[in-house]
Amino acid sequence: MHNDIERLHALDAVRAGALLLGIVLHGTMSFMPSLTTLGWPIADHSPSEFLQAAFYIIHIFRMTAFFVVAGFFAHLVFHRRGARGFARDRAKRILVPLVVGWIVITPIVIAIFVWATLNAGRPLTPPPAPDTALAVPLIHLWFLYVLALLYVIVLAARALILKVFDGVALRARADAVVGWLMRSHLAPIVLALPVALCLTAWPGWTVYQGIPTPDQSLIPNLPAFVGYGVAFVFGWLLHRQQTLLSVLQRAWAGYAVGALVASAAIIVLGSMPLPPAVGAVAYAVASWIWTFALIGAAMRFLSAHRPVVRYLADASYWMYLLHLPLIFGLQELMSDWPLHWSIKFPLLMIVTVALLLVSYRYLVRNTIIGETLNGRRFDDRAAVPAPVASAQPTSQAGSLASLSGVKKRYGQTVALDGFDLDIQRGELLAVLGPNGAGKTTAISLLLGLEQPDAGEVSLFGLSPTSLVARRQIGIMMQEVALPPELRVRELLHLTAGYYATPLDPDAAMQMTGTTALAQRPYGKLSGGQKRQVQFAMAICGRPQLLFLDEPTVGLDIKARETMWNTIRELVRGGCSVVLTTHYLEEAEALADRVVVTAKGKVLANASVGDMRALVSRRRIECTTRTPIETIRTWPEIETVTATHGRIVITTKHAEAVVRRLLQADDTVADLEVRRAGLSEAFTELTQEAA
Amino acid sequence: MSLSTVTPHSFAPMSTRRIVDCYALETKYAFLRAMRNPGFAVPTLAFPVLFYLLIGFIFGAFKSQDPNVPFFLFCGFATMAAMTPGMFGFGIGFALEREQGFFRYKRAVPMPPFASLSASMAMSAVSTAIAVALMAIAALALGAVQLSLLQMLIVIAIMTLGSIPFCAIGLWIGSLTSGRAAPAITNVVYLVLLYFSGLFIPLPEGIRAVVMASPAFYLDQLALAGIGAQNFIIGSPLNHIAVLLGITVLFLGLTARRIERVG
Repeated sequence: MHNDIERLHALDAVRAGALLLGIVLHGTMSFMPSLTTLGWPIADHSPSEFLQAAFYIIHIFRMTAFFVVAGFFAHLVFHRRGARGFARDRAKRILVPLVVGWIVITPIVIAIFVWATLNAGRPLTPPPAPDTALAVPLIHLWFLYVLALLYVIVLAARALILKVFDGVALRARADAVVGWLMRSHLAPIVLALPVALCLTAWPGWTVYQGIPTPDQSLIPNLPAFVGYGVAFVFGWLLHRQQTLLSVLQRAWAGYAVGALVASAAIIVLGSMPLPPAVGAVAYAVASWIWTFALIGAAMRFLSAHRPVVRYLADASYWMYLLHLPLIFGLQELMSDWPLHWSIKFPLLMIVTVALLLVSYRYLVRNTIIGETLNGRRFDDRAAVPAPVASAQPTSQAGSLASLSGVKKRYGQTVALDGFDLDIQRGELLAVLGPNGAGKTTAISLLLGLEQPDAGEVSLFGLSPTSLVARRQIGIMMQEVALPPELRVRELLHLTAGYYATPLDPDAAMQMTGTTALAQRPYGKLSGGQKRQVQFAMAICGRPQLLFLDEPTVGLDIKARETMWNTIRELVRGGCSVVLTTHYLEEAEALADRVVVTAKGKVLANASVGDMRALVSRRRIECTTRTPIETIRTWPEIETVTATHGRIVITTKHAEAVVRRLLQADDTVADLEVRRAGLSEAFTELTQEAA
Repeated sequence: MSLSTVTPHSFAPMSTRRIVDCYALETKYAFLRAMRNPGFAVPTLAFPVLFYLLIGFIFGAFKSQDPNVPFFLFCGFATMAAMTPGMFGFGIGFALEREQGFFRYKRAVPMPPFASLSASMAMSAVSTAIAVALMAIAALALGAVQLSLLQMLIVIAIMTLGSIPFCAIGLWIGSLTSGRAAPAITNVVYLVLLYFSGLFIPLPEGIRAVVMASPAFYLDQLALAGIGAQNFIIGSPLNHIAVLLGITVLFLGLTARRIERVG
């Protein structure tokens, strides 16, 4: 399975090739004598038998190959994402383009036909109503409709079959049959039979007509439905045994020669008066030989990742969806030009493809359209990851901000359960706590984003929803996508405008080391640079209180040092800071006071030094012969445990205990004494809570 | 005094001048953002004039004997121009802002209430004015429609204000959907509103009354009434204005309710 991914590259290329060949196919139409003499409205003055033959040949295999690949990928997606995921994915990537594309493109195509008809000086008569039920002009988007139909039918049939038969046995049988057909190279003939039968029975069928395009009605015509349905199911089963692809890879040259011979035969047979069954069988077999040749050749030559092929493959869906009005419009525009088709046709192709590629690059590739069509957006504007967290204050006289006895619940979840916090002027308060401890909720309350169920929230003695109070604060949120189109200086200019006595944007950039980024669009910045800019935005209003939520995530060491220094400078200048962070070293380096939270409550609220003392216990580890029961009787001991032959003691009087250990047993070895850092204090406190 | 020193007078209320500046800046940058985003600017500004010319030439509407036919076409596409920025700017933009935390951020910083909303609405209105003006210039240059400069200005003015109800609809869509779903949903709603407004394609007799359900129909009617295109006028302008105002209030209210509940 090591080259699974490479194989997908090859099949992606086949699918893209089938779609892009469609552009060529439709491009030949205005040059086809057989079409234009029948009244096709867009008729070029320089007809071409050659392009007509090209049309017939492309038409032999294009959609059969497409539906094989479609079935293959459908099986892949279905088994990777499950029925629900599959339905969601297909709704987005097939149904939405079908509906939106149809609504947008059909009127344009009709308008072009009207234009062409009027240009030709013909009377504008509505086309005769098709004699089928549920007639709808699906134009070239029929393939999406048929695909959607096949998804539904195949999945329903699959569910039904698995209900009636034994799935394991059936799958083994199917795999064996498909494997045998492929290895014996009889597959093109066997797979061709159903569609050949339908074509033979199709009234008035001719070889050149090929598989009739099911674009007239919501009920696809029988030959097309059977032919493409067989292709789809074959693709579906092929994905079960991807090793069979290597059979095609080895035999690609043989199939390619066969395809050329078959094509020539089709062209010749088409002009001979033969019974329809002969033509139908030849045609259907040719379509399968071509399909196998294409897949085999792609496996042989396009299995590796090639950026250009990849790009075209990504672009092909959009190009195919949009090409029809463009091609028809340009054909009509060019139809009178006094040039030979050998000049006009390449020109038509170049202009069409160029326009489609440009539109793909600028309107689709990194927009929501591209995401809808290709399932992903090619975008370097990566969002800053990580969850949201924040800082918190309690209510005491003279505090800048406080929460007192605050309760807040979301449905059944209690986020804050009697939470107290206050923030004093000029202090840096670090709020620590595991995810879900209530940090974010506490900060949201202080910022006025949410209201408490009980208790009081005060910001500068006012309600946090008050604009006057909020003008005193600066905010750096953890997960926020700022407008990517605005330049850094513009963002600062805009933000500074919210405050009464802001910094000049240049000063703010200087303080945060972002001067060099001033003219850069925000969307083009790296994750770390974005954090620096957000920091500049937080301080540009000269806030008295700064909320910093995980400010240094994604910063390199130098940028982090700069930010720390600026934060210290601000605190010296009288600014208070509420810092939430997962980096304990950051809290240790900056904070005056630390609050540890867990489960919606404040567990500890103390200076960094006091916090260490609060958890002043030390761990002593050693190996000793003194029995654990004896040690337990010593007065200073808090806990003793034995793990892996080592004794682990916790105590507040490490020196005394060590002395005693050595007295009791002079063979004590591997002695280790550790003092708790903020990290241990934090871990210990939150573990106790849990 | 260092730049990092906290100033003691910061509780002083902001001057009216600075608050006005704040709204102006917000509007300026909303407009800059929109114009720098080709995915928004091109469909908003260029599509109406392009489609107008395309359809006008193809159907020979510009040369019609009845002067009301070019009126009808012009007002129809002007209405489309008024729908686009509001619905797409808000429908998709607001959904993304909510999803990506920017909405939350804007609520936390001391931005004056409604500054962002009014800025985006102003942006939609200005975009509409530009798009319709482009159409007007093209129409005048080609002699495609027999409108005086005053009539043109009337249409531009009606459309500029008429973009607001579509902002409200877009806002509501944006408040309901996720950023991922918003483009698809907005597109579908937009196309449905456009198609069932009877703006370009007369609907079959049986379902003609459906146009009454599309806000675009009322705006189109208002513009037609504004320039006096006799044959196509249905109902009174006052009625249309009332409906459009009602739609604006309704959808702003629905949005406010939704945001209060969900955020």
